[in-house]
Amino acid sequence: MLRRLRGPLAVVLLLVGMFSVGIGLGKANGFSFAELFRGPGKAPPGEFPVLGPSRPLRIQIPTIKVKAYIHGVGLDERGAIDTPSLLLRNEAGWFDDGPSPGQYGPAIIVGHVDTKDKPGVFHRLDELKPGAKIEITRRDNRVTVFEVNTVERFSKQSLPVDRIYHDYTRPGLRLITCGGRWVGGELGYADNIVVFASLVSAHKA
Amino acid sequence: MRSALRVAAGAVALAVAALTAPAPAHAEGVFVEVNPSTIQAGFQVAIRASCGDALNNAKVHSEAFGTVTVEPVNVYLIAAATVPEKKKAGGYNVKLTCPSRQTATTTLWVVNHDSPQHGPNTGGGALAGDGGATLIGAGATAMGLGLGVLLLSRRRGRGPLTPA
Repeated sequence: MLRRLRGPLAVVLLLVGMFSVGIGLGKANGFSFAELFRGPGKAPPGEFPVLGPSRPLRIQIPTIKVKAYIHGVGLDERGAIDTPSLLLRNEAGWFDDGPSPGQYGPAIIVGHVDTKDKPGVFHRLDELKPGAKIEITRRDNRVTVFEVNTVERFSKQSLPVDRIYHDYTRPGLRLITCGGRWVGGELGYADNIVVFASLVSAHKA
Repeated sequence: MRSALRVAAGAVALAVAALTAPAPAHAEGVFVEVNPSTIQAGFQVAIRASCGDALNNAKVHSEAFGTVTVEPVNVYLIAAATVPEKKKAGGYNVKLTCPSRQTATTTLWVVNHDSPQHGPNTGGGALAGDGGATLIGAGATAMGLGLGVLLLSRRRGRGPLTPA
């Protein structure tokens, strides 16, 4: 009985082993399944509202169950956008030197993918798909609704600065968190996940 | 037949009017607008204005970019202005003065910050895992076991006591 099972057992072990080594190698090189099933990007709308400045207070992304507060952040001493304290687990940071969500230009909101021991506010950001809605409530009691265009991953050393920070052709939104390989030290994760989104509508809260 | 045609033409005209209505909604009057209405200091904005007509040059002044002359192009008065790199962030009044002394205003929002060159440090490492080392190790072990079992059964298979 046992002898007869030996052949199939060997084959199964070999296959499982190969599969596992493959995924392991992929992980080591920053491969992600979420990226594989994301689908093509969605073009921004031709018409959109434009709002004046007003601080964002809350962010909601129903498809990945994000519901968080937002506070202002500036630049840190390295010249990168500062991030919320690791202790404020459910908070995102809005770069308050840049445009507000709803103004022309990219509103930039950063959030942690994880803290030292728990998942962070944006830990499912790389599962976002083009077309998903992001709602941001502003202090003027208006809700701006953005639609995801693309979700992309870049090395922290070679971010496409113009695409992320200098596109003033429409009211846009950039959600930024960490991803890729963990290298530790100053850098933490090697990459940034960036969600590019565009304003599609605005309404009273 | 003819009246039916006329109705159809009227409907088309209405549809066209409805489609084109939003753009020149304030073209009747005196107005000025800047596009984009929010801009990073050091970059250029387009100015579009009208003095009721668009026949003569007019002046547009703002603390953000000084005074520029808007010139008639098609049905609008148009110009471009660059906000100097040193301009402080904030809202700036933009004022159009027509030859007829009529005026119109709008607001240009200027943002001014150093461009972030690095990505933000948005991780503490809880979800980092070990970069696939466990998976590779376990996978290699499984493959080794599988090969071992295969070789073992081959050798046994060739033995004299095993029936063919």
